[in-house]
Amino acid sequence: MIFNSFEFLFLFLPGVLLTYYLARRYISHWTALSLLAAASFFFYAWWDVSRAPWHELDGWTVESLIRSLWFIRHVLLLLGSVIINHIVARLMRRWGNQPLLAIGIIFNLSLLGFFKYADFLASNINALTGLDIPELGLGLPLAISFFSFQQISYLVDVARRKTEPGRFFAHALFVSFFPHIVAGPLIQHHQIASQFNDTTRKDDLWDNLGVGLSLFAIGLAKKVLIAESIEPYASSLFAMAERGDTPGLVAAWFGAVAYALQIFFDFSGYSDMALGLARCLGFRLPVNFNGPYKSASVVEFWRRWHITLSHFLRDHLYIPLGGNRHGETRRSINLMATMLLGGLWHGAAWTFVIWGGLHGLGLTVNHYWNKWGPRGWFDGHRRIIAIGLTFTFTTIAWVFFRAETWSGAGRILAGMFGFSGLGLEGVSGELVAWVIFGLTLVWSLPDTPELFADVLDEQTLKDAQIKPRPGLRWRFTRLAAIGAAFLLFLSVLNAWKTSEFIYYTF
Amino acid sequence: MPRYAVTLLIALFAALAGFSGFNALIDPFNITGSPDIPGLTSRDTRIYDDGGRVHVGDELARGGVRAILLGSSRTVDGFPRDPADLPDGFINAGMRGTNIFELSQAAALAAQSGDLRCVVIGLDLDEFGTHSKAKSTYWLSALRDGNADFARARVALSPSTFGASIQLLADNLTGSEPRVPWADTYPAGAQRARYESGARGIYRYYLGYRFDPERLALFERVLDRLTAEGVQVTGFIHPLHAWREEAMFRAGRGEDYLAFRVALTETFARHADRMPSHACQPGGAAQLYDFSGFRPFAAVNAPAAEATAAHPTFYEPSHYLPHIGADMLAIMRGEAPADPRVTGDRLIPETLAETASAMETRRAAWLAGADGVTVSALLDAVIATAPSAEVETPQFLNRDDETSVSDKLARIAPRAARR
Repeated sequence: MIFNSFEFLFLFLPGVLLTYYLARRYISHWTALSLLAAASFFFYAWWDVSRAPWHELDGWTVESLIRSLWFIRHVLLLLGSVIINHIVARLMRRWGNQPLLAIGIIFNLSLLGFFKYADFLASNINALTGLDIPELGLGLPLAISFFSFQQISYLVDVARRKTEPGRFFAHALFVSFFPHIVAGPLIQHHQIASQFNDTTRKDDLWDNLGVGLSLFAIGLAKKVLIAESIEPYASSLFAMAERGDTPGLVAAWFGAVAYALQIFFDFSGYSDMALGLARCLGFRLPVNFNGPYKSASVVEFWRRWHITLSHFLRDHLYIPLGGNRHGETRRSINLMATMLLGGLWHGAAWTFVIWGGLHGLGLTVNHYWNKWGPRGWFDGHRRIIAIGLTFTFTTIAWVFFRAETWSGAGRILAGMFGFSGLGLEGVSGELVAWVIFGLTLVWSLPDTPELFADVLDEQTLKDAQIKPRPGLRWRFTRLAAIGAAFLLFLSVLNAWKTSEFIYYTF
Repeated sequence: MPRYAVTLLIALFAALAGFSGFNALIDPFNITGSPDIPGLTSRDTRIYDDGGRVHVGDELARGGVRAILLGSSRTVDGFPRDPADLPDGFINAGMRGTNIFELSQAAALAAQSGDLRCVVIGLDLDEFGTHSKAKSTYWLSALRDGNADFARARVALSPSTFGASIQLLADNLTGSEPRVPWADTYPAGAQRARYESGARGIYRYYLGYRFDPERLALFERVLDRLTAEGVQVTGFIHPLHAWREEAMFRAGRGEDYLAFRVALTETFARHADRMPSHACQPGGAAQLYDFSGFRPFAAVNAPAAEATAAHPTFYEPSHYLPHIGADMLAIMRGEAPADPRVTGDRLIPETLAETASAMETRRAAWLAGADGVTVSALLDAVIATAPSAEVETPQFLNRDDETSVSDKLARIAPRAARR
């Protein structure tokens, strides 16, 4: 089920909202949470359930039962992951952290490695050694990258005594909570456990729905009205490059910038929707984006782009590796290792590793510039140069992120660096218009967290290191309500021709 | 905040309910079964306004169809529309402006019903080009996910439906009809102008044409599954008028066309040894026919400069008349065509070279004739102006497209259901 599908918008979401609030009002907080957990598992299972060939089953036989279980294997995997991690967390409380924490982390990484990287590893070994190790071809369980990291975060939080293991279904809900399970934001357990455990919380239904639906409307509009409109141009460039065409300078840059805009509006739109959906139910998720293309350095970019992943990598990889505590060289190595693994987390392909490596390099250069470069040179009106350079760098790096092969990336980069002529072919008026429109939006308007800074709680903003500047804010007036309703209406009408979110593949 | 939230919800629900209710009531694509309102909606003038995707998708998703005729506007216009005029319970499920992606989805959707016995599908180079993947109403229709109920809801919540609803109301109130591009008689010179401007436009179109082999691979997945489950799939290459075919050759697409013919033949040949559960025509489960290539009925001279009567075989260079389609069906069924000029070849690997050579011979003979000389001169003049290629942003199949086909293939009714 994707957020812009008919079944989600008109069946699942209204049903869940109604059930949750009624259960919380008339039964109990914990019943409401367990129903929410069940709904979240159903949401996750829908991908398999709706596609499975149920008609092939032949009555109530053992074979049919086994096949049914196979059809829903991914949700069973998720359930198994929750059960095992919960047991490990409980045992950690009783018998101490080690070696159980290590076992738990290895279990989660093994699960991720088996499903996501086994074939990648096999193909690389085969290529290097000439062996013929068979690839498993199991297919990637949806959101395994996200829920594996969620589980690790849970175990680490329990080990660090930031949180208690909690009730089983609260843990299950933490992992499977439908607004964020598929593509984040990555939540640390202590960030949401206190909200789950707050049995006395009064539901301000109108506040939740007003803020939540407004956030959702903006997120859906970002995805449906903008990202989906830009997508064909970006996809076309990359697909042609994969098939042997070499775009010229102008076409390559327009296509690459189109992709930079597409992935921003797609992923930040998803994150806004996740925040909005959680808020509709009264929960506050951490902010994931804050105008990343306004960044004046690569360091700043990672404070504004996929913020929750940055925090996860910082807390669970960079700092444990030593962070910046052992000198410049060691920091550079730690940064590079963190970003290379961060790249690999996105997908089992060398192009993702290179993307991560480029960002590791960018961060390192950035730190050296801050230490050795002329102090404050990019301040004031020169900040615009820094923003331009950062955007150019991230756009070049996106080529590796989006390309399916080395040769495809190489052709586009050859075009971007002027090795393939001027190349106006493929640059349509519509593409130019969308690129200008998209860049105008990202550079002139505040991103969603700033727009809603007055109604997002301080902790959420603080976690994301967001200090909202004075400026445009969403005003909760009747006119704005009609505007939000119109935006939502318009987005719903255009929601049918949409593809899955880019981060669903990770 | 309560006032804000309530206003938002009321405005949203009012807009959604009003919009979808209006569209469902007017029902321009005739899928919701809403009652006709005399004088307002009683004349269904817009059922195929979107090229037919919504209506065809709904019909296929409901099941019960035994035999379908699929294809582009050439199928829509080139075969009888009324099922009573077609043999064996065939329905004309052609869709204007379609391509092999949509056609593959339609065939896979139809096969989910155990009733389906046969698919006849019209193909040519156009269907496999990168210039188009799916039209906007495809995403609304049941062709997308096979769910007729969800499709009706999507259709009700679509601006395309709203536009068609308004037009249907206007048609009913004013007594007007959508413009029909074909007629029995035309103003003097109109047909000739259409052939000439058509040839110029088609030349530019073919200059920018790009074949996408991945689409053929996608189609083969559907062909493989359908034939494995006992559905008889008969492909045929559409005839085009010699004017259009010559424009294609002069634009440098002759090699592409011949390579396409070979690839399509080999694709069908790989499944030719399978037998259908219930054949609509003699032969195996996968057959391919070719009606293209300067055949006598497609090389009938273009209308004269002042002609007013309709051309006997083609509306214009891209679209043949329904009696030609009926004869093509007869040939595929092993029967004699009513018009002896209508001929076609069964394409199998063994006949490829011979039929291609025959086509070259027919082309040379046609070029030596008056019509051929005229078109050559016309295209020479076009080429002398070095026209730019007509290039659309290329569209390629992505993961979602592959998944949607896989999902439909997984739900295809097994062979046993067709006995």
